[in-house]
Amino acid sequence: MMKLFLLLLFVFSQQVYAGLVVVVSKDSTVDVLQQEQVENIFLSKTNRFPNGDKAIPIEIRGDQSRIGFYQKIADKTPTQLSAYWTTLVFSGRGKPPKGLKDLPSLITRLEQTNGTISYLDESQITPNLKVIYRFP
Amino acid sequence: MVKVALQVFSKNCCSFLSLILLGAGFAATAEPMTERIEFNGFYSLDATFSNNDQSITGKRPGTTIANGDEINLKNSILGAKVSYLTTDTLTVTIQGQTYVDADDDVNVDINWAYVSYDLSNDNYLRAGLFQMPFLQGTELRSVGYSRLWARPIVLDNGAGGFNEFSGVEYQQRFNMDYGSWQFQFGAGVAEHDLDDVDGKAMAIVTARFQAESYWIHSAIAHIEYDMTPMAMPEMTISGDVSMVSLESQVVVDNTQLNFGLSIGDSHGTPSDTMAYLSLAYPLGEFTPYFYYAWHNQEFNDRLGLNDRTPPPPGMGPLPPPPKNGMPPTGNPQMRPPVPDGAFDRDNYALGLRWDIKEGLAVKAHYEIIEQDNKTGVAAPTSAKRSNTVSLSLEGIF
Repeated sequence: MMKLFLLLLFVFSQQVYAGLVVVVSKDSTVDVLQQEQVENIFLSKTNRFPNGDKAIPIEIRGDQSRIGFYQKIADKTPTQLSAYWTTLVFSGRGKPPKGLKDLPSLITRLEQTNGTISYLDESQITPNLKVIYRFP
Repeated sequence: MVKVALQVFSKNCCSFLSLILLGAGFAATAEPMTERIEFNGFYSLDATFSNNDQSITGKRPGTTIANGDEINLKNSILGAKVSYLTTDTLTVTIQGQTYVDADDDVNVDINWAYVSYDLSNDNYLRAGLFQMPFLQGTELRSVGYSRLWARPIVLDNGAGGFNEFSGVEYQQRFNMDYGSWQFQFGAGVAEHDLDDVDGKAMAIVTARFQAESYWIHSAIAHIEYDMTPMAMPEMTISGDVSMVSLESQVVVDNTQLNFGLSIGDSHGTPSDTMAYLSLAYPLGEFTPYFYYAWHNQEFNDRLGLNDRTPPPPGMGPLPPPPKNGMPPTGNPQMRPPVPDGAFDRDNYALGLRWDIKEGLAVKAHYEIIEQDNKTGVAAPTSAKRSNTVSLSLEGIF
């Protein structure tokens, strides 16, 4: 019984993260990104999209999807990520994505501010957003 | 002029605290301003016990001495950083720290203060006051949470004693399929830990490559300076130091290996060679580690000062222990000649980092410090070997 429960839990957790996609405004000139490019933007290795436009990564502060997202793009746990940001922030070489308080704020920002990029569950996408990367 | 202005500013702790409060005030009240202001902080609460009066590697400027047979809290520190995005491309940043110094006074100083301009295409130009990007430990010495270990592995004088500079810095990044490169070119005026050494022109070039499971950082620097020898306070001489460093972190099958090497060849101030090797194996939130570090300071009198002015006959005993590992100034008749010879230190440490939650860690650290002082330079202890134990709580906010 316990094995069945754990199996269902595993399957369920995989389904939760299977829906995570990277999005921008539907008016963005960016149509598609590779995983390395997503990683470079969200880990502050670049602040530009491949076409040279400014990229502004944003996310929901303290959201659970954050853990799965960074595990997927950079294989980093929350504590590893925290140590990574510490070295960048306090040497002035980078900063983490801006944290917004909730999903409506995030979607509004994505729709209204040029260059913003974030990650969402596919079910949360609005008509004014477009998917530029899906996790395999 | 810029250097003087920065020095004056760095002494003005009220301005710094006001700025932090101002930043925090804006963060709390004005919505539009919060979009442009970023506030970050770090802290370490460190308790260290040593069986001798031992100089340990500190998180704050200058030498940290752990008094023997007592619990020392002097390696504790609190720091904050405020950045203000004035336009989409121009950012003003100030970072400072407060700590208890060697004289038991509460000290506040600014160690970063710069304007950063985004030139686009991952090029940045910065101007202001910076920590020397010679080794990771020299740049982030005060930020305990950023490193695995309870103490910085780089010894007190870091980059030959020149731990910060005022000037300009250009950064360029390149992202490849297999990793990313970052190059840094800095030039300006270096600042030495000692008042007797007055840094002049300096230049530094660094290269860093970051891949998924490893990074490599290398730096080369050249610094010119004027110094007033302890034995000849009426005289000012010019010297220079050339430094190179190589540092890396590699993760293989969950085992984390860190190593570093730095060499500083100096005329006037001591030449330094430092090497370290660290192994760690994360087990969930616990990371046990071991490291070995070796540091050699050569006090060779390459300028021939001892030949030019021999020490006065019948010179008395050496002065009391210095703050910065160099003989102090004072009565000229009491001064030793220019030191000559080698000062070697070997550090063996065994520790455990416990990441309690994101942004908060506890570290327990046992370290054996062996020293071989052939220079005659006064040191806090003449003991060849000291045992130290540290427990620290380190975090960011």
